[in-house]
Amino acid sequence: MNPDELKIGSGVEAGVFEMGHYDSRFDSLKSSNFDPRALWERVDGDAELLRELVELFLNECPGLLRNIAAAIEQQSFDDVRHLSHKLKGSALQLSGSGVAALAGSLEQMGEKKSLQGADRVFSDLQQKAAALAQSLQSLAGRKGSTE
Amino acid sequence: MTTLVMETRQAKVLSVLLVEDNLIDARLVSRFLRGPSETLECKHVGRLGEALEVLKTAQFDVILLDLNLEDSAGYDTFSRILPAARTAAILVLSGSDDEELAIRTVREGAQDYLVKGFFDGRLLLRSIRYAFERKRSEEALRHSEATVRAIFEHSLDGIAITDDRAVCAEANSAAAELVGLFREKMIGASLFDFGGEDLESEWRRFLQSGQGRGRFWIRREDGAKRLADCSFNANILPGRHLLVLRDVTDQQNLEEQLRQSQKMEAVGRLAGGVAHDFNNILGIISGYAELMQINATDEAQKARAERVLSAIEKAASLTRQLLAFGRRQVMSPKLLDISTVIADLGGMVGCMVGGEVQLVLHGASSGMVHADQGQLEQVILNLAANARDAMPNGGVLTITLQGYTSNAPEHQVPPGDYILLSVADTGTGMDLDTQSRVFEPFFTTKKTGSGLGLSTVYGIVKQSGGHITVDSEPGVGSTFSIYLPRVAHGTVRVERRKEDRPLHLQGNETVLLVDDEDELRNAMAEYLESCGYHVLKARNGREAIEIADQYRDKISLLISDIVMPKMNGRGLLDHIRKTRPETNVLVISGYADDAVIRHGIYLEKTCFLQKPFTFQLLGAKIRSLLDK
Repeated sequence: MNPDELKIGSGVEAGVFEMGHYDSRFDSLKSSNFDPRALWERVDGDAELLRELVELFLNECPGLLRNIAAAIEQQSFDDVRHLSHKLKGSALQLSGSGVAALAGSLEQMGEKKSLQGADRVFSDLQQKAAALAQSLQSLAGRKGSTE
Repeated sequence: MTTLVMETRQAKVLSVLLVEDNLIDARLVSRFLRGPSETLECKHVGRLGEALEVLKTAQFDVILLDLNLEDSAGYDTFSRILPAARTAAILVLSGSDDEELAIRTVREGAQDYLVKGFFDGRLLLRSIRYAFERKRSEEALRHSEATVRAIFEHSLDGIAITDDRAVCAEANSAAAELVGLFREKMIGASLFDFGGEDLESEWRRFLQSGQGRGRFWIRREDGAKRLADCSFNANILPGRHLLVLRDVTDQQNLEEQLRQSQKMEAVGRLAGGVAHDFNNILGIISGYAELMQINATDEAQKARAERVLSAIEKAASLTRQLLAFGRRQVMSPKLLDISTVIADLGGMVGCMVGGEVQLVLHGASSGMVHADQGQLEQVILNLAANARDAMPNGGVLTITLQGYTSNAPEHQVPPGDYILLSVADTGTGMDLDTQSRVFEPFFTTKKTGSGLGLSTVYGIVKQSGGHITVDSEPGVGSTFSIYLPRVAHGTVRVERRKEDRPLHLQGNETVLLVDDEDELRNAMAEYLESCGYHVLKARNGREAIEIADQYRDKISLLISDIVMPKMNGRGLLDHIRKTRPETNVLVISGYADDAVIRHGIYLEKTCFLQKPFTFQLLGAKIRSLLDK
């Protein structure tokens, strides 16, 4: 597993929708991993805020994934727990339930000081994070690179 | 949009500290807090250490706390910030939907626990406002409870909270002290354990009426009884009743003493007034009876006058006792050692009580008192006579003398140093009702008693500045305790009784006789003239002054009543002392010390005769004054 393989573009272009109005076309981004409408409602239709949050996530996520991978490799339970918790929190706020669930699983492993199966979970997490980043970029108005 | 609580115009601007290390969370929450109005001010820190530093210098209304930070995790984060933020409402924002952790933090003081991703701006703002209001209410409640608790703990009145069966759920120290228990023991005990039937009937009344006041006796564990005033309030909480208890035993005792004292004072004033008027009448009868005796032409006439005078003496003896009770006797107080008085009287007391009563005298000299020796003798003799009558089949009469110091203000005897003279018998004793009336004049339990013996004792003791108490139990006996103020220093003067001496009553000096009672004045004048005196008569002070000012020769003696119309005795005495300093003065009154002292006439400088007196005594007094 190489965290650097995860490529998430950073930066968000100007909004593609009007403030306060949700475009139902974004429903196409809805999946078990992501709920665009829930996120839209959470930010109360504030596109600027949405872009800010997405940008923060895109900036933060690769580093977090790298650090989680390193912590798993080093069997550093506390770091696994803490970093996964942080990623989970961010994902939850961005309605990324798939990423949040996987990050939560890793957090539990760190909590229980047992990283058995963590590699497989992390692998899934990487994929889901990349997908979430993609969806967020789409929602925020810029298509980003995930590869 | 639903109207938010915080949009109300009066809403306070709340200061919020956001403790969050996740930038996305922090950004989102900050945006939420900016909200639709300017009612929140937010400061953001990313680490617990930073938060603790900030809290040292600043106060916040609300703290939004993420539990998992770089420098702290889980419940530990909450428990570390809690002591530093006692007045702030803490709202936990957590990424963990951990029910157990949520309950634990809320139970320990967090106002709410919100899971990230499951709240939006409106919910967060509402939660913040509610959390603040709840915290404010809690603080108000905490202050109120602390105040009530302090009142409860430090109240001088007993406070107890009981259930329907009067079992104490809570009680303060004063309540425990009232029933004589440790506080811990009182909790769980029923008030019925300490009260009698009066408490149980009061309790029923309380429960029926819901609230009210009452009074009942409490039996302490040590056997002592205390009287409690009680204010009752039912169901301050369901099935919980409040009782505020005040120990009024001492107050009750003092009130009873005051009532008794006022009653005795009133009776004394009445008795003294009657005695005064009666003495004047006796004086007239006595005067003319003596004149009849002096001028009797045969033995039969003389004997009849003798019988009249004898009856008058008995009547005068009664009025003297009334005056003693009314504290209107003339006192000649001196420094006395009571032990010497008792020693002198011992023989007489022994004879009086008879052979079947064993007389025991205890105590040596314990100090001196300022009292009238004759009156003190009368006190001892009266008490001894009563004791004898209480022991018809014999017993022990114990007269004890000792020093006594009273410290307690609530005691029957005010604080001070006393000589305690107690007279105890092993006789029939008295019930409480008799004890409460024993000093009243004319109250007697004897078939032939006058009811004046103990009232005389009472009057003399009071007039001497002392106190008297009685302890008695039917079938066991009675003890009268007399407390006379101890005098620090002085020389003892005990006068031995003087033997009667033959009197020479004749004289030829000029006497100014002043009395508003015409009959008595005329009788006295007739007697004095029969003795050879030249008598100038006046009806009041003003007339006496006119006579004295016009009279050119020497006036050897002024005999004057005190209380008279137009000008009283004092004005007359002052005038005579000024214009005729060589004139002797003899004051006569049926209304002794009170009137004499009030009129400013000091007996040390004048001679006094209390009405009624025999002309023989009057004649002797005159000679003793004029022959000095």
